[in-house]
Amino acid sequence: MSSILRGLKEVKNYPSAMVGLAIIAFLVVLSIYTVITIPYSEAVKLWRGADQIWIENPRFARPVFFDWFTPKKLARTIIVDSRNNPNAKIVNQYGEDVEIIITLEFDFLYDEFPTEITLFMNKQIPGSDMYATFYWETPDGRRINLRRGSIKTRDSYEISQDTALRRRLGGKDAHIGLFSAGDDKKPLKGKYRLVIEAVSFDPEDDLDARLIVYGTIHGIAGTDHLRRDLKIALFWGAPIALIFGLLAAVGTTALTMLIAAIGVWYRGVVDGLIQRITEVRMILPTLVILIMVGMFYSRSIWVILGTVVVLGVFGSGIKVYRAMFLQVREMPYIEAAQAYGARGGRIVFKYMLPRIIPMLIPAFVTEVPAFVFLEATLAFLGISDPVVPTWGKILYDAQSKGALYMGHYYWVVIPSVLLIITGLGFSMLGFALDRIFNPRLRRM
Amino acid sequence: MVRNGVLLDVKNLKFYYQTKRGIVQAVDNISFSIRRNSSLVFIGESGCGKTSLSKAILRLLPRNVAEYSGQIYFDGVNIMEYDDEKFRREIRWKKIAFVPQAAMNVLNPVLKIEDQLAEPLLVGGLAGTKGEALEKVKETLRVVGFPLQFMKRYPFELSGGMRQRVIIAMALAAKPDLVILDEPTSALNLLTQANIMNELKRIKKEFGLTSPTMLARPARFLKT
Repeated sequence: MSSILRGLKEVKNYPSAMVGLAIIAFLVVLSIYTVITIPYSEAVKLWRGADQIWIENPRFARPVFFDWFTPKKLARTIIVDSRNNPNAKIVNQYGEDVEIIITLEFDFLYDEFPTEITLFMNKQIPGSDMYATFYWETPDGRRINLRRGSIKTRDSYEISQDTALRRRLGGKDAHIGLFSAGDDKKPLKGKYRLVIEAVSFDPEDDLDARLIVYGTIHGIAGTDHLRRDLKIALFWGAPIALIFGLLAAVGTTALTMLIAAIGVWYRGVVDGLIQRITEVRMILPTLVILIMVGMFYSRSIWVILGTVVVLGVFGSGIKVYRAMFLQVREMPYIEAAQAYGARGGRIVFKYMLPRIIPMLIPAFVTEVPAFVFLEATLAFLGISDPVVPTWGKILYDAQSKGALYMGHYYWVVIPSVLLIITGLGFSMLGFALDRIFNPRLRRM
Repeated sequence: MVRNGVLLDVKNLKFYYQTKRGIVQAVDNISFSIRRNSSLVFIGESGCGKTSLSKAILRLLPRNVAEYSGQIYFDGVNIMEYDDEKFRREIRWKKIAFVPQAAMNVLNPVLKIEDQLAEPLLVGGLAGTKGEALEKVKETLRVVGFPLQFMKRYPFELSGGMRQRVIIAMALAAKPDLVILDEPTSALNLLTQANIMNELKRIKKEFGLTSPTMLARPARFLKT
């Protein structure tokens, strides 16, 4: 054991190993931060996106940092709510009738058109009749008639979807037509106003409105087609990738080694059985079996992990370890142990396994990314836990919504970079450990 | 049939190996006996079956055994009739200890000297706890003249002669009646060989009652 500790202390002499360690430390810190700040149940709920949790987010928004690298000022989402601004609402009583005028005012100072405009309304008394006229006022003093109609208790007016309005704007989408001053290259900057003039025949009635002008950038990671903040999946992808990769790598390498050692020690039928299982398993395609398990049995991440470990155990690794153990088995100290009456179990655990463990450590560190990638591959193929947000799942969504074709490359690049960084970190550390623990690669 | 003072009585022991080109008669119908507190030396050219004989007595059989028969009386009891588990529990190391050939590599490279020496005691149930085992270990190490401050070292940190002493201590720790030494000094230089041999003579005298009986194979004697 102390030789392992000594080896680990040597890591600091290898700069690449230190970089790898720094990357792994970053991923670990990110994972801990994520698990604490966004609890698992919360993340699952957010990622499912029920109850219009994400309604205030734009679709296909790029990450905010895109703004730093362009001279243009990219549009952010603007939310104006009449409840937050007492001056926005004027209520006039005319006997039995009530007139409510809501003015939602905002400054638009971006060099880009917004992507969508939606108005959400909340009426006080259900069942009463309320009629309203909607106007749009631009900074250059134009007043555009948007719509006239009745308002339901919980109503929304998707201004960008209003086909009648689009026709009046000369075939332009509302979020372009309402913001342009003639040419459609640049929006007009300044103060915009949305005015609602509502009349109700119930004196107790009241109305609140919230205008959302969706921008083109959002959050540190952007959003997807369901307006979900990709941050959730990018952050949660880290602990899941680490846990999956580590458990699969540790499980596979440790079990492979143990089974190989048992086979070598007891030989005969035991060894034969292990070798035949391994040979049969080696001609079966792993990915296809995993896809079948995912399709027909369960997509739970634990079932997939278990399948990966079982398939990984009876792989080529067993042959490699068997070759090593066959050498160890014939060493005099094993025979000596037999001579003083050590039994099979003791010889396997105390004499054979410790001899190979130093060689196992680099192998298992370099195998972690292989399993992280496998998880991403499965998710990309649609075989992943339906509730858990992972990096592979982002890539799956991006692929199925044609992200690259539509130019939403942030959607593909960020999770890919995280995957690559994870692989890089473990590989850099693993190769350095290999040099430390494998005497033939050691340099003086 | 207990003959007076006879510790080990081997009768018609056969130990054949099966190979592709037929049967190798490594130990063929050998009979001998050793009395307590005495030594018996087997000398022969390499490949004549000295190691096979010691393995046959300890029942350390390889996979390709063709025949293994005869009687081995130890203290008057035919231990050939014991089943493997009884043999392992009652004979190995407690009654008959073994210093294998190429003894330099006999130490587990990942165990410290003290742990290595405690192993046979713990395995054989001769010491209940590790602390108890370590006490016995220290005692035997003193007998073989091994400096106790090296107890926490690993085998690769020791010289050949020192490792040899550790192995002899390991064989003595369980206080066996018989010690089989299979070329105990083969990998050492002449000076160290002489040293160890003298050491063995002294130990044999010192141990008195449980004096080990030796079965050695000093190959060098043949050459010189």
